[in-house]
Amino acid sequence: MQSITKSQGAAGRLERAYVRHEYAVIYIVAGTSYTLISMHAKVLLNWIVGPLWPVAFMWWGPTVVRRVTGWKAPLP
Amino acid sequence: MSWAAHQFEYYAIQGHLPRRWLGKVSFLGIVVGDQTCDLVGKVWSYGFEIGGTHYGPEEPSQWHRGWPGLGMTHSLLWAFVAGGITYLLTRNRAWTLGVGLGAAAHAITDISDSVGTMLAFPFNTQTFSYGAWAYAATSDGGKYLDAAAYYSSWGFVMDALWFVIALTAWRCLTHTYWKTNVVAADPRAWGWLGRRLPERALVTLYRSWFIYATCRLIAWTSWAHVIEDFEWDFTWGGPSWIPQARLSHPEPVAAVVALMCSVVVVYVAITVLLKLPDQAWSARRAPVRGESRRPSL
Repeated sequence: MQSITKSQGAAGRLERAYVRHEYAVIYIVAGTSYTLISMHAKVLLNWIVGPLWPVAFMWWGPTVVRRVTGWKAPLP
Repeated sequence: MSWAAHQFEYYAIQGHLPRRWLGKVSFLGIVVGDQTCDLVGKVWSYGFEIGGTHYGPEEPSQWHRGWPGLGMTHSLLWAFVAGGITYLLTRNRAWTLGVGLGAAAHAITDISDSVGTMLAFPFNTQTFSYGAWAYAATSDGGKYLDAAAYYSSWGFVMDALWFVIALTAWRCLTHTYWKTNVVAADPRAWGWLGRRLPERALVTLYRSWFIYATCRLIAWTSWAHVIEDFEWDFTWGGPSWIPQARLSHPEPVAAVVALMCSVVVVYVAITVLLKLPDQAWSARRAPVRGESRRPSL
């Protein structure tokens, strides 16, 4: 019982921390993934895909995160 | 030519707009205006191959920056032409000023390489350049060799410098700034986008060119020096391992004078245009039926 409460508390803290920094987390994930992938697929390094990449992450990312984790926090 | 510097300069301009211009120049207009300079000529400058045959100009630098060629797209005249076309199409002051300012910024930034730009076209077809790094678009090397040369020389420093200049105005990247200054300057365009995208995607769209430019700087530099093994060379006009294209001999003093004159011309032009009464801009533009004048943000 105690361990369940503890894990819920940790999950809650994680959710709160994520929501507080949601923009930064998604931008870092989007930026890192784009940089790593485009270093090898240089065709992606163009001014159409480049700006749309973070927009797509920020558009759908928060919804996907809530679906996967079951978090109920409102979308930003 | 400059690479990520062109994207960082959107934010450097937006973040350092004179107070009287704030809320009156469209950020999206700056982006579009900046892109117009390379939109027509850049792809053909590098050319492409089909079935082993290379299609492209014999002299990419002449085609891209010279006359005869598309060099006028890198001149102050082009900024006025692009702004004028925008005015005729939209009658929108913020977009007219934004497109003109973006195109002028692009032409001014590109004087740094060995080819430079015809800032004074059509009065003078000389290219102004201070030749800090080699213009390296060649029909053989294509885009990748150009990127490797740029990110091995002072071009890399140029991108890093614009990154820092943009960061000195970091407040322009905040959500509050976007809402109070960027959307306020251009409520129709952001309102149109706001009916299709959630606000989190809109503010990310506004920041997206900064994220893209940062990633682009890191990705190209890593590719050139981690995946490939191109040599760093910070000699003036370098790197020395690639032939440097030139249309005239770089004259740094003349280039700096031309740069300063261009900044003054752009500043005066925008100041004058901002003094025109509002009716001069919107008189002929009837609102579309059912269209809201206020953004739905």
